[in-house]
Amino acid sequence: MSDSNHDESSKEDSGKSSLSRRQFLGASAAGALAVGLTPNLSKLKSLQIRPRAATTTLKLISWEPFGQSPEFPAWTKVVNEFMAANPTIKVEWGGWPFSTFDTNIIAEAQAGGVNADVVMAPPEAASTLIAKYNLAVPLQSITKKLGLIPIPAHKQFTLNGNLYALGVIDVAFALTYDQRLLKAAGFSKPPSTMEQWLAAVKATTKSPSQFGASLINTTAAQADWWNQLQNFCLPYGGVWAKGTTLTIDSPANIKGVEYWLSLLNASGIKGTSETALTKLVLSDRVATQFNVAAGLSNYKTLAPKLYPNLRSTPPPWPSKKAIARLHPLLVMKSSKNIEASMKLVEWCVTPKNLYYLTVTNGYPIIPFSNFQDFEPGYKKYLTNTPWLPGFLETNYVGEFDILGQYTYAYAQIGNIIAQNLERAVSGSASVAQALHSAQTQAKESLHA
Amino acid sequence: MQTNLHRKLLVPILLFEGAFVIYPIVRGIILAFQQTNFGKTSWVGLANFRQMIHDPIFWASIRTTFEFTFAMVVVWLSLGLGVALLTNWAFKGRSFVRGILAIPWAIPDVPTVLTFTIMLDPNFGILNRIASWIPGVHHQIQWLTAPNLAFIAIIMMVAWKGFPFYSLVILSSLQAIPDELYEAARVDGAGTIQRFRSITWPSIVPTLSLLAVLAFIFSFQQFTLIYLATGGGPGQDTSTIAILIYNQAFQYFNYNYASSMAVVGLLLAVIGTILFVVFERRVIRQRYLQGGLG
Amino acid sequence: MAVSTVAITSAPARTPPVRNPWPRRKRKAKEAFRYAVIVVLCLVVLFPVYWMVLSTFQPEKYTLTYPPPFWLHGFNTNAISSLFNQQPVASWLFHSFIVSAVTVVVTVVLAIPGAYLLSRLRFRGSGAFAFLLLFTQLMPGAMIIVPELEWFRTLHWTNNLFALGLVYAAFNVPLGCWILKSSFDTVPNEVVDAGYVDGCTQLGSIRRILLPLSRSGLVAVVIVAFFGSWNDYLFASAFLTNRSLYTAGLGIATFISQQNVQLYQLMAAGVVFSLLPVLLYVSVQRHVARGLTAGALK
Repeated sequence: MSDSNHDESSKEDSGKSSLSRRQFLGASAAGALAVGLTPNLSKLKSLQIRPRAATTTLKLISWEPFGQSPEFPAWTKVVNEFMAANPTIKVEWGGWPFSTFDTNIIAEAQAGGVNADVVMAPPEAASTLIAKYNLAVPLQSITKKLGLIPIPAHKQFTLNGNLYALGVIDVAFALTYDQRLLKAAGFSKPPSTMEQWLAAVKATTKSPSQFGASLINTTAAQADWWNQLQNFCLPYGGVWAKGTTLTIDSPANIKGVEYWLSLLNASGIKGTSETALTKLVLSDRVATQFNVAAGLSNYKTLAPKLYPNLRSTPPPWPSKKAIARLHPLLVMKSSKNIEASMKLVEWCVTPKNLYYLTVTNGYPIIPFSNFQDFEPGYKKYLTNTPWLPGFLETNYVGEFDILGQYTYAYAQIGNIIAQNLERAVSGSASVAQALHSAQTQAKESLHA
Repeated sequence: MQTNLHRKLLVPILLFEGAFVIYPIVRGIILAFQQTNFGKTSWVGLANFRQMIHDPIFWASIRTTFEFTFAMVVVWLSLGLGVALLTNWAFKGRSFVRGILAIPWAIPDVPTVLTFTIMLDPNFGILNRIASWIPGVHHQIQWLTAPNLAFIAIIMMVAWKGFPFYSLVILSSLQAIPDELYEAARVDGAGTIQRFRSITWPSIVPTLSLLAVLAFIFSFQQFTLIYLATGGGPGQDTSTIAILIYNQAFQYFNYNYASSMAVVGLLLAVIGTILFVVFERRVIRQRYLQGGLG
Repeated sequence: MAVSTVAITSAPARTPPVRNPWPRRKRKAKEAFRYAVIVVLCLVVLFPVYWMVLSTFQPEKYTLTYPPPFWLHGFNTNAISSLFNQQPVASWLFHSFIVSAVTVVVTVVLAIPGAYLLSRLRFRGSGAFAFLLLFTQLMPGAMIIVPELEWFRTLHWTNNLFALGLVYAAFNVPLGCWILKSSFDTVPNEVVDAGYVDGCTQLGSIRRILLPLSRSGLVAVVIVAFFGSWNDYLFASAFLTNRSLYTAGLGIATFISQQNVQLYQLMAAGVVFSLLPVLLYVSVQRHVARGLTAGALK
């Protein structure tokens, strides 16, 4: 469908969503009344035209208001500025914490549509909303208008030539380390080869007080385990799947995961829960991490002892490749205010605002390749933040590059691999055996 | 005999349960025969079930479910019986002890998992400190991640959380046994084991069989404790059907497929329950002549 | 273990004549043994509770160490105070309380007629009714959420604590019926019949005769319904998208993955969250034990 007929199609949408929309507008009208002497109040007087009230309320759902509080103020500021620039549009935040976000948004989609106008979603959920539920509106007109070139990771959100989601947070991995702990063990430079990383992990592990690396390795945290582990097909140039062919147990993957396991064994901290691992990191007891940049700026307050010594370096394998996961914004087809919603998305990806979000929240990568043309300060910011340069030197690949069509089965593949790999972690199987049975299981479970 | 009263009483319950439980269940069953693709929902007949037949993970979870429910019925009932028997005599501080022994039941699931995860931590956990006192144990035991051990650790945790319910119920049915029966048996010269076999056991068997049905249902439905402690791993070791359904629906986004698994799960639960009830009616009631399930 | 303790506990040990020269001492020894077993059992059962409280108040430098100390090395209230400062825990608890209250009231109100139906009335389809109640317990919760959510969105009942209480009640009514039924069962027919003679109607007999005699059963229903709703987070997370309506179960579950919530704060949240059900339980403990089956009303 083309951009021009959004309004018509949304009017034809199911009664359910229009009902909830009406309730919504009612609520916003009530809100406006409560505020009292707003200049628009006179326009609201006639209650019969309430659905066409001058104030449009947009519901923006995201995990940002929940928990990741250090990131939220920057987002609030950008959205508030949007409301100031568009006085007839009011934006309400909603959503769920990141850990339950997928569950809840899929429950909503399945129950007749996501009850929101604009959605920020993790990449897999975004792809699912687009491809399985067909709930999103094409957004390429926005990038065209702004002259931005989306980075290739947007392939995951492209269907039949339409781009249905625009990346705003690029969660990129690199090797981060505590330079104080490395120095104390005699490493004046960050590891630049795989052997060096392993040696550094061994040298900095002084169990039970200090550990060389914190690698997530419990099935209780399998989503985050997989999140990290998916990078370890890259050391020897493997991929988990090519197009529609699964290659979980390819020799390159086996070698890569064996390397991961040797790091885990050397780190001296197997089987500990993710919460406890985080606690160890924050109390400055972990030397190296394979980490995402988003959230590291939080360490300033959460880990004041670690933060001044926090540095990054590209993954120490020859290709310097790592995964970047793209969290985008989508506009819901069921929205009664598609135009206003697209305006909001446009506002968020406008270089000035995206730049502000990036710098404030410490996202290293902006998901538009020609971004520096708009914001020359970007490069400077990257080099001036002490823990960022390593992220900058990393060669990023998207999920499509390592998972092919199985990007749509991201979590399922991840669970299958994690659950099988657990046996290799506990020593009751070899990595090759574990990946081999993961390959067999994945093949049987995913080929309907 | 009763003409209208039962209707008046039935209607509100049926309406309420119909709206909030039965209707959603029926909707769930319908979804099992559908598939959603690019926003279009279509009927696919038995396709989801056919997929299930070839899905090794599904079969593994069925096996795990049976092992887990069987283990829980046995563990809960024997723990419950043991604790009930142990506390069923007149001793000082008896109600205090009974209160203490029921506290796990009052602790919600999330704090329970958090506590056990800390206690069972292989590197910092108190359980490994205690285990290290046993001669010959010196490496860090991976309670929640090693094959087989994780299953045992889960049973330990679920048993701890749930046993008070069973011991309380068994205890109160023990207390219902008239003392005169024991007196009479003693006069007849019956030994302790004999008294248990001829008096205690027959009096509590109806309760035990009802509890067995409940234990079966509760363990079949167990989700939070397992999901937060092991996520179903390692391998499929603790992935019961409740876990798999949740994952399929909300992690893998295969909602219709999950529904079809839920239908199979529902069928299995119904069959299991009917078997229990039939067994209870045929065998136990005939032998012990007491009411259990209605 | 079960069989050997049976004898000990079912009745005081028989004292055999003549052969045993020190019957009294033997009995004393047996008693001491029983006590010892009970003490050990209590310690084992309470240990996780102790550990939860200990982890909350243990000063930070003793957490995640090996060997973990068995005792408190100081008293660190930082976890509890920062928890209350950073999160609206009090309002979470209040919301949980409201939802649980709705659940309990609705469950009790519907379980009474249900139990009466099961216990006292014989009608066509009574077996089907009994099975229907059981059936409601058999569908995995994860599958009910979506149809329920669909339903509640049409009714505009999402983000509504009262409606959430109704859902929990729906899952607890069947259990309540079963528990109360067994309480009703123990009231002898003669007692109820005597009521009729005194001019009670059938309904009146519930209020005047059955309920007063089944108080323990009612308390047990209240406890089961309360625990059920206090514990849940799956339904709450689907139905409450408005943070200002969060229940404690939901709030704490969302803690687990948050980077800025420290481990000891999580434990503190666990303790706070457990406190009310434990206190409630302890205060009515005697009734619950009796009410879960009506056996004690001999």
